[in-house]
Amino acid sequence: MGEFAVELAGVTRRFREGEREHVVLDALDFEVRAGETVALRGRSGSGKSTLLNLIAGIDTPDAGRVIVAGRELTRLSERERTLFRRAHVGFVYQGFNLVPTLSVADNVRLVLELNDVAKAAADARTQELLEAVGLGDRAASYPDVLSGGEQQRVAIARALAHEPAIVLADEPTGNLDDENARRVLGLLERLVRGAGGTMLIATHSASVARYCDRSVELHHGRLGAAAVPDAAP
Amino acid sequence: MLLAIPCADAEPASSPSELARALGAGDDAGFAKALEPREFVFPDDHGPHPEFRNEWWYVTGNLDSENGRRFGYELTIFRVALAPDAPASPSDWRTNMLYFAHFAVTDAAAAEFHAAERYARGAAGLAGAAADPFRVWLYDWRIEALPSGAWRLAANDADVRLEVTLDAMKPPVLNGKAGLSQKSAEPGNASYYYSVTRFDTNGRLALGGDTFTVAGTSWLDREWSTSALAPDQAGWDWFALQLDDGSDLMVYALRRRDGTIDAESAGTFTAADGSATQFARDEIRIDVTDRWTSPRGGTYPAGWRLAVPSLGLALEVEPVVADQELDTLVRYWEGAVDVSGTRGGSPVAGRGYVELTGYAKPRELERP
Amino acid sequence: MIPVRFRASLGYLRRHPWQLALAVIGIAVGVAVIVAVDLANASARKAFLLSMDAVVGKATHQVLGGPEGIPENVYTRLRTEQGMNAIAPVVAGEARIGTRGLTLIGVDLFAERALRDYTGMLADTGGDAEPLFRAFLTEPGAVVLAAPLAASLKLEPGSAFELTVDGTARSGRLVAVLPDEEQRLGGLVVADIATAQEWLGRTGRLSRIDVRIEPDDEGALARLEAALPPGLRVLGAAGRTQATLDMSAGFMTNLSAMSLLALLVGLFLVMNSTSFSVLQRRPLIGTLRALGVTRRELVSLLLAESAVIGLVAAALGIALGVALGERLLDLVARSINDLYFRVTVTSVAVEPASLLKGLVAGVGAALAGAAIPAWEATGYRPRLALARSVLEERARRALPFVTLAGLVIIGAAVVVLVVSGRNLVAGLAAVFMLISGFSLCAPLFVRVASTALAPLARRLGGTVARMAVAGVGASLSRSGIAVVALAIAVSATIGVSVMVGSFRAAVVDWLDQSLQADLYARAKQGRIDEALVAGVASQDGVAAVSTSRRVVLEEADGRTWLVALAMAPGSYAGIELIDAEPAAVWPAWESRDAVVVSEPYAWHRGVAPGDVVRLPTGRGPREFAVLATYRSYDANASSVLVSRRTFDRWFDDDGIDSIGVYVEDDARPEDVAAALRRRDGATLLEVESNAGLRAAGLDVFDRTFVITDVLYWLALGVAFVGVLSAMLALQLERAREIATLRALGMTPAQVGGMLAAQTGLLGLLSGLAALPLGIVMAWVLIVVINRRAFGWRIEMLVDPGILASSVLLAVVAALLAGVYPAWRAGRASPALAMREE
Repeated sequence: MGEFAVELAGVTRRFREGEREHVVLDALDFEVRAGETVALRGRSGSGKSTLLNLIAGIDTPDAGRVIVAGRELTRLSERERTLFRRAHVGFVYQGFNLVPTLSVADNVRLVLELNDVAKAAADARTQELLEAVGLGDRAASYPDVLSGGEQQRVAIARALAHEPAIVLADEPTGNLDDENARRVLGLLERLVRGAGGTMLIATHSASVARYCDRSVELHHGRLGAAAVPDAAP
Repeated sequence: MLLAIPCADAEPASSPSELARALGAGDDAGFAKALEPREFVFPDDHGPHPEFRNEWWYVTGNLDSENGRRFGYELTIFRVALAPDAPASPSDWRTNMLYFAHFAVTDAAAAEFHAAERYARGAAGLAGAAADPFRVWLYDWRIEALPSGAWRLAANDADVRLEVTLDAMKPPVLNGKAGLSQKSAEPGNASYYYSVTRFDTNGRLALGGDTFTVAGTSWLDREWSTSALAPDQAGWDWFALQLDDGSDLMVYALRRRDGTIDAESAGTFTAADGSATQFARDEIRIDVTDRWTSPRGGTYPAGWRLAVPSLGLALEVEPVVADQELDTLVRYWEGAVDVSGTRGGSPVAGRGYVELTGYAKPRELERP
Repeated sequence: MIPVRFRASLGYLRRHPWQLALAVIGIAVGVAVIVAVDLANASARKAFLLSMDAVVGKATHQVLGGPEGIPENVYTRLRTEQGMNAIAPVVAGEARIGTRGLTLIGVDLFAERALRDYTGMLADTGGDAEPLFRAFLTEPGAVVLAAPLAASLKLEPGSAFELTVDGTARSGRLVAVLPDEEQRLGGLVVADIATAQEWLGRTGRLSRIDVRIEPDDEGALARLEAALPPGLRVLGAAGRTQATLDMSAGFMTNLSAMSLLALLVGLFLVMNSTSFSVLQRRPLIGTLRALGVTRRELVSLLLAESAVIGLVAAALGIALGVALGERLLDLVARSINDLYFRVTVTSVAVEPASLLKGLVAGVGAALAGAAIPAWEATGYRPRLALARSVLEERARRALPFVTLAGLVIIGAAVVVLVVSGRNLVAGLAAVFMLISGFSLCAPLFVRVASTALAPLARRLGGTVARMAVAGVGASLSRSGIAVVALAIAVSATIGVSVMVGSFRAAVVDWLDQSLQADLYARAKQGRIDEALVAGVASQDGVAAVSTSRRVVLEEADGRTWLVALAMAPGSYAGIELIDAEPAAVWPAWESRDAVVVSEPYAWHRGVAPGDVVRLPTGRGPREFAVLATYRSYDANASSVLVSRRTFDRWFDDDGIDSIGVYVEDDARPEDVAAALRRRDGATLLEVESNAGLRAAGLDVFDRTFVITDVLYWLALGVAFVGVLSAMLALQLERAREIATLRALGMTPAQVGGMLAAQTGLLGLLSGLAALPLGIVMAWVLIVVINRRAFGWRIEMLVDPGILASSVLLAVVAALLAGVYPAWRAGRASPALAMREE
């Protein structure tokens, strides 16, 4: 892995809305170094989710290059991008997005299984992660009996299960109360940052931003100046 | 004296010529024609003459009940051949012969008139005629000879039922030239025509729930032909009068479309002893004294001064009931009449029947 | 101006056009099937009544004799001696012009006026009527036909044509066409009575005398009866028409039941679609509620919307139904012609009542489908309305009660079956109760089955497979209805296939047994008499002959076919006696006034061995002892067998319809057949091998069930649309979940595969759930419905192949229905997962 975990060069993304064309990202350059945790700030509709989708290979830019973990996603096919995402990207959503028909353990295991991890290893890894997020005793439960905070912890376990090159979190505390938000941030701090992982967190919460190595702000499709926090909280 | 195709609803015929057309009068090929006088033999000639296209047995009569109630009746059975030859078939129903009949009763006291018509094929025993013993019938309407030599006549419709015995009081008389009755100038437009002008008549008449024992006199007209009227003839007025001196008078006036009386019109006078005298058009004088308009349309003469000067006859003829129009497929008036006047200067009275064709408004087509 | 809240609601439908379209298609197809069957049935019935009306006319009674008919002089005597006027003679028989089966009716035009009006109609044909009458009366072979019939046969007045009358080729000439706007005469060849007698060889005989007796003419009937010679009977005309119609009632009721089945499946589909569209709008409903729209207003809104959809769909369905009805009518008419009576229907009579039925069914189904979900969805507090798990939980909790209700209904169906005796309609009602009961039990089955399958799936296919299996069980509130609809359709195919299969096997068996002779000869031209039979018997290679004569006995309660048999030694084995020992029956049958009756005859008349039946013979009504019941699946089911000797004692009829030829062991049947065909003489024989007759018999059987086939494929089609709709809706509802899976790295193929597996599983479960219902339905159809409708007893044969193929059918149908939703789901952008609700 090179110096940058994520490298975007001249990335432009436009959406058509009827007759009008709306430029969401405008010749954007952006890098995230390996091991760095970056807060991506901006108002609703400023393009944060679009940026995350481009990095995950879910979306492709109209112009520019997207390089993640040394792979130039913009040169990959849809299928290759999916397989890349499966192996190298972890997702944490504001709405948790657990599979309701799978147990907590199966939600985590699903990702390992997609990556062809052997069953025994997958079981061990799943249990390890659930213990790590403090839900070791809830492996057999179904998402709908968990609280929001618990669900998000499962989502974090799921996002980390396959040891991704980068974790993308989209307002991970947006649906949580302060107490649970703190707890989730604590987990991310410990399990990602503490382990030297790379993470990009889209948020408009200043407290979340403070916790990151640096913040960038999306404004009119461009990255504006952002205050670099002094240190971790 | 009436021709019709019973089923020809579509061809409402009110005049003989229309009827003739309906019958396809032009196509006489294969049928015998009345061209010259023939010898009449009885009872053979009472029977059918199937080689001719048309034939009828025409009985009219005036009757009184025991308590003096006056009635008139008509029973006519017509035969029409649809084709000259009888088709060969194993089926008894196959025939070229068609029969139809009219039955009417006049109730003078109630001024009511009741008429009905029937049709049948001349096959399967449903209708037919035979000479010996004499018999002509259509379903249960019939005229037939009894072993005694007298005839029995029976007909009915709804609540009218007539059953009488006819005893001939005179021998048959031949009308026209020895029975050849010319109807228009063209040769063959003629019929063989005889009458029995007086039958003593006795029997029973049921009418509207009552049954009357009736007695009186009847008249038979027999005619067969293949073609008769010419296109320019509109109809005829026919008189069959029985006078109280025992004599009988028959007159037919063929009317032309221009309103004049055709030269072929003629008559026969039968004396009480049965001797007959034929007379021609120029010996007949007819004046209409009254007119009647049918509720069904058409205006008829309804009273006549009829004179045959050569016989010393001057008679007034009046219908017993005004409306004696038969509302049958082909409409015509056939009714009982009263006669008064003089013969050779002496007063005579009598009764009779008059037939008037070609006056009616054609029937409307009606469908159930 | 549409209120904003309506626009909010309609906007949803606009954005999900396929959901709207499928709801409309579902109702439309259901309605179409109902309307089509109803129209076809009603048209066939109406055509029959109209043609009977044309044939019977104003007659109130009919004078009938034995099978030989009535001596024609009886009619003449009634006319000339009794003076009866409102009577008309009729000579009737079967005729065929080209492939068109028709009734030849020979009439006397002069007698018709009081009863029918062929006379007037003939006069109405325009032009100069007299030549028509002349031709009709005097020309052998002159006929008139209804104008539409003549047109369809490409005949014009004056055309000569060939026809077959009672199997003999004849030459006819069309002298006129009758106007026939009401299509009353479409099945008639009207001829003069002489022509009919000539063609039918019934010289001296009438088929019947039609009589009109005025209702106020008391004593007229008694007078008529007194005037008739012994052996003739007077029957009410309306009763005879009804009795004829009644013969087909079972058949028509069965068809109606099939169409109801299609509606039932359609109803499930509609419920599926409408409840989905309501459930999908829970957020919108929550918002509107929060904004102060009352529950009542919301429910009315949703119901109004459903009513409009129902109305539109019903209109479409009616149009479709009329078109479909035209197709079905052919099939219905063909079956009725094969089985019951001659009916000629050229076009569907669009009955307002049938259309109304379709309309009510369509709108009713849409409202019923929307009512419960609408009430439920509007009852939630907005926050709760978002939680799907709550809904699933409710569905789960309702399960025991739903299942219990199902069991109760099944129990009730059993009770109805037991207590309803011979009532066909009650039997069909029980079938529908069984269906409803089973459908209420199906959700539990699906849940239990999917729970049970989950560990297995996990072992075999891992988490993805597990997810697929679990998805089926977990979304029961959605998939349950689709499963039930599909299960019903599949069970109907099982029920009907097993029934038809069993029936067919029984017919094959019966044909094999009945056709004992090697060859069967009929007269192609001329007639068969004793001398001819003797000639055939003495032919080289012929071991023995049997003969049969089949005549119709007209009775007040319908027709009986009297079959007079002169048996060859080998013939007895061809008649399977159900309830008596052959050795005890046949000697008595040969010598005494005794009969053997067909099973349907025994069933319909309620007679058993030991009883006597009264049959109208040529010498008046006679009693015959019933010796036994024999198995018969003959189309003319109500048959009575009598020995030729007994027949000759009581019937003045020396006709022979067919000769059974038993060939010597060392002779080849083909050679004997060829020799018989070559015989000289006035009578030409048509010789058929027993294999040929067997094939012809099965042909009729198969034709009869074409309509059944068509109907259950339609029901299956409706169910297919249901599964498609359910799958699309599920996919819509799970869009976010699917997007998450895509984001987690599942490829489109994996997601599609998972969904396909889910629909396949749904199909499999439907198929499995359909098995018991299908078998029970087959049993009820065979043992209850067929018996009650036709009197046939059939052994039920369950072909495992039918069961397997039905389950496969369900899986394939579901998979096919899942293809598009799965493809769509795979294509959906994973970006959706990011978007918040």
